Amino acid sequence: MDTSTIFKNSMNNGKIILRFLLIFITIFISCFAFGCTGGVEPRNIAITNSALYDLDGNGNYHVLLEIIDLTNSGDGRSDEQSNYKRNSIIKRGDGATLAQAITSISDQIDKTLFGTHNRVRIITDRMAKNKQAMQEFVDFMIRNDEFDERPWLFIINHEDIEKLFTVFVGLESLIGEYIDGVVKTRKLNSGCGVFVETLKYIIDSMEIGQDAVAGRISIIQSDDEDQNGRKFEISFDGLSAFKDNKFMNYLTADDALAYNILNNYLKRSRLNLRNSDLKATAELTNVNTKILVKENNGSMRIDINISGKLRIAELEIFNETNISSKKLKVEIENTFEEMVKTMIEKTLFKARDEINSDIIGFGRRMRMLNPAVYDLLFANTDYLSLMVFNSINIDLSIANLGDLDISRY
Amino acid sequence: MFSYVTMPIIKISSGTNIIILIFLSLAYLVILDAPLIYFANKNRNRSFLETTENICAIIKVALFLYLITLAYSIFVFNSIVIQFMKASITPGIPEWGITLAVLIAAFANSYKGVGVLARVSVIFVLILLFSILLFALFSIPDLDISRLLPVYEKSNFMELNKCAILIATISTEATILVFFGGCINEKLSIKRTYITSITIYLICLIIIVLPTIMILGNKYAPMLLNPYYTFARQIKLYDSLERFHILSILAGFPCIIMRIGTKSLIGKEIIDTIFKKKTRNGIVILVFILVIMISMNMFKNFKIVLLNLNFYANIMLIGHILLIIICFGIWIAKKKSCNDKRYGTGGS
Amino acid sequence: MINGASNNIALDKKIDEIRKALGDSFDVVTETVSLVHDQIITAYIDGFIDRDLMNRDIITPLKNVIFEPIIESNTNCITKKALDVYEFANEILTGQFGIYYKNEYFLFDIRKWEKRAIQTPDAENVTRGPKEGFTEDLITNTVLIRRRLKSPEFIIDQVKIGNKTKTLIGIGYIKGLADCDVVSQIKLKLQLIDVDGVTESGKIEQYLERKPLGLVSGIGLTQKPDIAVTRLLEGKVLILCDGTPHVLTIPELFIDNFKTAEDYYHRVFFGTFLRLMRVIGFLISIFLPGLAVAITTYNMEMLPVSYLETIIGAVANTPFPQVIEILFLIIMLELLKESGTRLPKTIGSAVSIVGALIIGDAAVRAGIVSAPSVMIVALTAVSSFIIPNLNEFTTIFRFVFLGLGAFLGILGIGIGVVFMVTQLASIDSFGVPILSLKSKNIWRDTIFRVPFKKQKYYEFAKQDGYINDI
Repeated sequence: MDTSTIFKNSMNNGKIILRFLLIFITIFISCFAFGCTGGVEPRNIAITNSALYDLDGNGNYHVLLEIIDLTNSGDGRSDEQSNYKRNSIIKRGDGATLAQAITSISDQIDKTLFGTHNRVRIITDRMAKNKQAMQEFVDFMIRNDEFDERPWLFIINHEDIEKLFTVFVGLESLIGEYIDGVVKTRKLNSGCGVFVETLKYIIDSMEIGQDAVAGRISIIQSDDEDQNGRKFEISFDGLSAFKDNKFMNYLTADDALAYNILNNYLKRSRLNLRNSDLKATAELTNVNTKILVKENNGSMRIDINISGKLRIAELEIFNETNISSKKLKVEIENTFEEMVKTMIEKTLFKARDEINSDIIGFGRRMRMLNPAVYDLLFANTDYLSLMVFNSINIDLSIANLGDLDISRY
Repeated sequence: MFSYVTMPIIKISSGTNIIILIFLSLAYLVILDAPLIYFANKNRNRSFLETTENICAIIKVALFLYLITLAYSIFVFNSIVIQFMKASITPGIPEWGITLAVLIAAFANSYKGVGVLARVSVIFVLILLFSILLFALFSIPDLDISRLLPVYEKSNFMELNKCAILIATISTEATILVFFGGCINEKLSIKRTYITSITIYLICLIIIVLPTIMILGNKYAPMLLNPYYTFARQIKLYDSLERFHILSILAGFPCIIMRIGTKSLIGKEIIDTIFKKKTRNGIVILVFILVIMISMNMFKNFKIVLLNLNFYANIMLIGHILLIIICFGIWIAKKKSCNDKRYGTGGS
Repeated sequence: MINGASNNIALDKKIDEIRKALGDSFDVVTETVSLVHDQIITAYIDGFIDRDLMNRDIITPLKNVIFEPIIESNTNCITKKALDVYEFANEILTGQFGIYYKNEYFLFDIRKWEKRAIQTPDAENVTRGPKEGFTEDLITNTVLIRRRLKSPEFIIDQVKIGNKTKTLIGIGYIKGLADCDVVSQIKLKLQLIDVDGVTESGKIEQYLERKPLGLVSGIGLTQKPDIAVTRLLEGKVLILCDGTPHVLTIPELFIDNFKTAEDYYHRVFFGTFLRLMRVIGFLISIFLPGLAVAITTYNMEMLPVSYLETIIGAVANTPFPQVIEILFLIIMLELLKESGTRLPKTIGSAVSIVGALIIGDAAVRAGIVSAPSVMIVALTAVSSFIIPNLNEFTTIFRFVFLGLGAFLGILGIGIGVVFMVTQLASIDSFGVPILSLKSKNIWRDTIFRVPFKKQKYYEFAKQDGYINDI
């Protein structure tokens, strides 16, 4: 390259950059002139913390949103921050569709509704029992970006709606935050509740050979009032079973535990046992469930193998003297195994015969392993009646007797 | 990086075995690209422009058709970006604003020529790889392998192959080598470069598609506008940030701009070929982009048809095969004429 | 006597001629010195030469000669002859001592002038490593390099630039390591510079680069001889300019901006860590304001609820949108930076304290700007000082990204990234693209520094190998 072209090039490049600057300026000016901004300033948003959806007998939706009230939140400096406690306001909106109901709420407040920090979605049972309403709900959740898939999904008895926002909320001041906190703690420590994110509900409801579940919230009368005069508490035990996107019925805490064991969702749970010989509490951990589904003469043969470890938390033996330590260990294990087996059998039969819902997803397992057979035999029939529980083997072993000296027993 | 936005493999494949499909589509991709690679390798120092010196009417028509395919593909890219941005990221910004921004960025990108484009793409591919790896890693606690288990519903031989071919055509990138043959460094092994790019493509596909399916399920994912975005929204960063899905946009978006830029540059090369004239980058690309903007308005009512992924794949398939036929036609014709000449001189 | 008188008239005429050629300033000294037999004219610039040396080695020996003096042999200095009065004057202007005797012009190099001592440079402070820095004197600088590089392959070519200033420019390189094409291109470009004066290497830099309007030049800068030697060993070319301590290094890759001399003296892991910090600082200083605005205006779902609440609480009572707040603070920052640099050191620090602490805090307390915005800009400011070489680049692009982030959100940031990287990729430094990372050896000394045993100094690949430019 000779020097004249070098200088020529540099001149050309200068022009090009000038041109780009002009383009930039044009863009900015056009942005200014035509209001090409779609942002919302943080001060103009209303953060929802929990949402309740209801459908009345006339087919109208009612939505209640718990919106965080930030008017007293201070300016971020520490001295004012320390006195600040979050408050919330509850807003109700009605409409023929969910979108309309929510629009009617946003019409009432002076800020833009901001739903992606929503923690909890609660649906009343009368809405959940309406298949069409649930389908509308799922459709609304998928379509609208501002309401995301993270919140926990619960079903509540519609008679308890009034009480819901007057319940005891622990150390939090918002129901959404409270439920979120409880769920996160209980997911690790207790298997008596089922906690499902909206996303999982949506995926399960679309899955072939699987029915969705949701959490269950029930309001119970508290024994004593708290300082704010709140008389009610939330119970998270149990689960809500669906079939084909329609709410069937609630299941109990034991069923929830069985559900968690069967799906390998259990992290840790306490089992309490009391019979004539002993009284014991054990922590069930490391649960590993294997479900084998086979086709056998037109029926779905199911074998379930569960293994797990027990950590004894409390043990009291009434006639201690006759039992050697090993024998005792086996006996405790057997008793717990029997207990778990009964629990699981009860749940399986309840789900199959009473609720008529495949919440464990036996059909899905069958379809994965043998799609041709599933399509031929089960796809177009209500295969629940064809399910045969062939064997349920439970193998629990005591891994830990606590910190006590083992030789005591 | 089309897969990054619309995930054709998830959308086209609904129901078929995704793992088989990934590898099958890769095989088809190699088959579709092989002639072009061969052509580019044999004509290293010449671009398409120089190879088709004695350009005939048929080739002109064919190239013109390919040009339309390219324009259509840019239109689709742009529309997808707009559709996605309007739906999920910046609903407040008007459509023309996004279009203008995307096209100006693409124009600036392609204006500087292939060399700059190549260098920039290396950087963006690295950023992209980093981001998808990060998302894949952070998604590990939430992965549900049972959702990945094969579903053979439609996995018959024909269906699988059909899907694989369509996916492969969407992802073909070897055309760039044909048009910019003259710019390739002589020391560079084309085959090795191609193998590297295919490997990167495979890695991308695996760490994009499999975690997405495992988190969203193979029924829900195909329904979404951008499954990967929804997947990225689900990833938690251990309480430090609620979510960091924005990184996926930041990494993926420049790649789409690069694609639009590359395609407009190929379009420019084709125009040069047809009119046998070296034109200036800027003017031609500007015209190209203007055509797209006008077509955006014109085809507003057919958008649903035009943006259908199957339709797009079919059009691209036709366009691609056309290009291969042209390449080989020229190649064989040239060889023949060379042989004739040699024979002629030998005779005299 | 008649002869003597006519001789005097001739000498006076000559003095006039010489003074005219020299510009007839008050600091131009032209004297007639009487010897035993004859008279000579001495000419020099006052303060430019060593007077003691002049008296001892030139004047005294000449006065002691009884017969007709022979200038070359009767003085104790190396003597050079000038062809005419103009050459004579030009040499005197560069500091030589001149004698006119019998139609002949003699020149003696007894230059001595006041110059700054070798000091530690302000901009490239190190805690470990040599503290010496270049000075304004070209010869001192070449000595500083030569002392570290005792090789006959190290060559310094000389070019004079500036019709009026006639500044001496040294082009230093190691034969066999540096790319000959780059060296010849530099020489050619330097020779073609047609300018009245060059006072600093920054001016040469702008004449050398291909894209004078680009934000990055592809030409490096250093004030430390040890770094200059490292660069020479990497196959780069140095441009030393008389009158400035800033030495240019060519070609400079973008990644070189993130390296400091200290990286090489520290342990490998710590050196790498420091470089990573620099890269992070660079990214923060460019992207943070824009990204913060984009996220808090378009993608608030990313932020944890408690942080979002803090932001909302903080901005609730401020009058402006966040983008305006940040823009105001960044402009304030630039003003403070500029005033802090220009003012004397003592006042400068006072200004920055007033600016940073008092104005910032007062603005928050008065409710004009919010505390998070101040924090964002403060973090940006701190990060921007990490890489002083890229200061211009980061400052300009900070504004660009702020605008794009405010108008188009994350889409705008993406577009900005495309623009920025394209801009960087299109800049090359004498045939080497500044984003080039093709050569295997370059990989070993980028963000991660491989131990020296596994590293070899590399020669620059002329192109980055993938595709030639068209």
